[in-house]
Amino acid sequence: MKNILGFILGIIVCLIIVEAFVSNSFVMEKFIYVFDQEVGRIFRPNSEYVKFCEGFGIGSVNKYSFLNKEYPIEKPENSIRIALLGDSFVESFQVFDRHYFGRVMENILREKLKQPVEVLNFGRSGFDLGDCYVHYNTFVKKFNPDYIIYIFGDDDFSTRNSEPFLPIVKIEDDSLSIEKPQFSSKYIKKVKIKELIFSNCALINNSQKSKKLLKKDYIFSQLFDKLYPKTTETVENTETNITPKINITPKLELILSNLAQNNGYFFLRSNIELSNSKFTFHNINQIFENKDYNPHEWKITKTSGHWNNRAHKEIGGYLAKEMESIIQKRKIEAIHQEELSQELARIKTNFTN
Amino acid sequence: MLFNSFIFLIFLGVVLPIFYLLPNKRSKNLFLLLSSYFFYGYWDWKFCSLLAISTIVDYYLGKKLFNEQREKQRKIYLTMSMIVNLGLLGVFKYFNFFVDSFSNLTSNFGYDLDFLHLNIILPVGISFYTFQTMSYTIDIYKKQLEPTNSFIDFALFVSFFPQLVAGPIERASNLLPQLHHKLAPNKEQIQKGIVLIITGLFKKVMVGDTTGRYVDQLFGNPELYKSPELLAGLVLFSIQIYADFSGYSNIARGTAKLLGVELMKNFEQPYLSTNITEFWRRWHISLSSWLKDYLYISLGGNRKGKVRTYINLFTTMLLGGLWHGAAWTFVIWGGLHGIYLAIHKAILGNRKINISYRYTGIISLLNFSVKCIFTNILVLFTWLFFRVKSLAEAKYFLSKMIHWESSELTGIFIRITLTFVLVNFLIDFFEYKTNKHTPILLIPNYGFQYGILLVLLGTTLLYMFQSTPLPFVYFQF
Repeated sequence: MKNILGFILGIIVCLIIVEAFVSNSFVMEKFIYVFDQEVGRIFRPNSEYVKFCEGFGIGSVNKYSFLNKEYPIEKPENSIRIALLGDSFVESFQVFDRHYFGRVMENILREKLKQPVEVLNFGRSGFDLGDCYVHYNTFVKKFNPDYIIYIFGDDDFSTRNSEPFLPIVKIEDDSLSIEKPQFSSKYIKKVKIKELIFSNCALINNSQKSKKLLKKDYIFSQLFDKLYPKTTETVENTETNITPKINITPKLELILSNLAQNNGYFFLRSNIELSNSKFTFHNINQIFENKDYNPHEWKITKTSGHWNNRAHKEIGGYLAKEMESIIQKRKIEAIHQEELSQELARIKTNFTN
Repeated sequence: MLFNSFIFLIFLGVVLPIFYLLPNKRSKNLFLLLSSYFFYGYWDWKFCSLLAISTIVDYYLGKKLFNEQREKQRKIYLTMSMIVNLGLLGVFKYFNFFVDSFSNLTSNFGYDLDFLHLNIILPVGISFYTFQTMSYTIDIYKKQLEPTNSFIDFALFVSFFPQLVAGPIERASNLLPQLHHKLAPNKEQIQKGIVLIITGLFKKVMVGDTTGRYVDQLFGNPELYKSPELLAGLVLFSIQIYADFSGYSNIARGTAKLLGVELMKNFEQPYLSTNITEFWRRWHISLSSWLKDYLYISLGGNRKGKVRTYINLFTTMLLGGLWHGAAWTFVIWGGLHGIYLAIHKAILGNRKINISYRYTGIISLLNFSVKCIFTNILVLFTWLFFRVKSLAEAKYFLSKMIHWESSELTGIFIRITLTFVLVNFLIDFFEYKTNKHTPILLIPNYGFQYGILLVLLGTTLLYMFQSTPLPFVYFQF
């Protein structure tokens, strides 16, 4: 009996110590999402993360539930606010925030425009066009951004709905609507309890993650090492010469037109041939043509996937240049608009007199 | 085969039951020899031939040396052994280093010798097993050891898989007599063996590999990071190399115990040393004692006056540095330790150092702590040269320390670093206090012991399952 009690106590004491160790050293990750009635699932506010996927990223989720540098919901009067939306390439867990292309762009624009510029990272792994539309309308909109940069890859032109908790976009009578998934209060309670456990206990969260890895291929490759060779997975193969052709369906075009109305600008992160769309897509990938390095290559971890630090720097510079010209153009348009309205007012007054 | 991989655990799961079932000494040793060659050949079968060459040469030269009475002939046999062993090391480990260094020199005069650079891979553990076989021949030459008559026993002594690729560098006088008897572990050995494997795996995987992930990133791209981040990287490296190597040694000792073999201790809480001499009595003990016995003493040790003692210390450590790796950074690392040891020797004079602390009051604890911290700072500085890939990188790192720039991530880096330091300290503290590598076994309640071991093993296996194993830092040597 003494030994059974000792066994249980030994497990509990050791689990507490190991949990404190793995949490504080970020050896194992905690769950950083939280269920939200309106948005579906958002980043858990005031949490920190350390990621070793391909690169090395340390950062935090600010109190407003978006990544890293915190800006309040109320936008300061004189500042230009740019929101970034897209998938894991925008989220960029692979780099430090100071190397993030958004931050590079922010710093360049601040210097060039001589006014405060705020860049907010709303990227999320797995987000497609539909998710971006939903996320803009349910979450990003309240931050009142002046410009929104959407970055898409070849697999993002869909409305697949990457997470079951996220609302979905529906088309009704040529207009779009957002439909929230319906869950019973009991189910939501269960989800919240799970989230609470996973976001506070790294060991349990990682056990849960391991469950997802329980696939024959993975288990065998882990157990038998080179006797059972693993097939290497890459997020993006940049060496392929085949350019995917994507047909923009009316539904996708409608989503794009809605996003564009709110000062949305579209960028592509891979070479894609798009048909049946009236919108301009700026191709980020072109900046890497004739470069002597692979923007997706991570030398230390010997992996290929998301943009590396060097690519982030270049993309930041490229986006800053593009956005500067868009902002300047908008400023000139605004001045013309004001001059025009002043002129009209003057003519109107003269005419009345 | 890496100790921190599932394939090793499977290998052990196959080897142990067969080994236990085998009836006699000869079959057990032969089976262990074949298993050891399989273990080594798992990296690359071709390297087994080097192991075999070293074994055959030293086995026969050992016998010849023992039977030969003429001093001149004995010297020839010893030299032959040195030429073969150091020749293997020289070709596979140092050839390119000397060619590149010489080529850099001659390029100043317009001669390019880059074509001499060989495209060869360093065989795993070559530095360890060549030193082990060399000690056998040297001991016979010094008439301190009799050669073995069993080729299988000798081949097993050279290739014994628990300590083949990263030590401890065993002496023939300790390991060979054990192999001459039928290997059968007793209950205590099995108990200790299991505990050492579990705690060693935890240390290697959960502390060594995880700090290694930070270190690889921070040292891989130092230009991306700010001063506090790089400093944290250096502290983390000091923990990585210790956890990695001492964890490995624990697994090696534990595995050997399961086979009924006692290997020497390789680490004795080195970061709790109060001076640099003590540090070297606690760090990589099998190598430092090898260097002392076969190099420092052969150079004259402390028998030829003070100045020669300092020079001998410096030379030994310089060559010890070069043993670790064929690069100038390792030479500087060894040289710095040589300087530290010489200075400490000069300060000490004829006094002996006390290597165990006993609490006698707050002042003594304070005194102990200050000395430990000072020793650790000295050692930390040398780790920089051990980890960087080039002198330019070391210079860059140092310039970042001098021209300090703050980081927005200082808080989180401090938290991460302190967590690892604390865990490392706690493990060392219990070992230091109990003077045992298995302090868990001192807990009177067996249930409590099993509970702790279960959690440590479970967590380690969970992490191992989710990640790719990192090779041992010392494999490159």
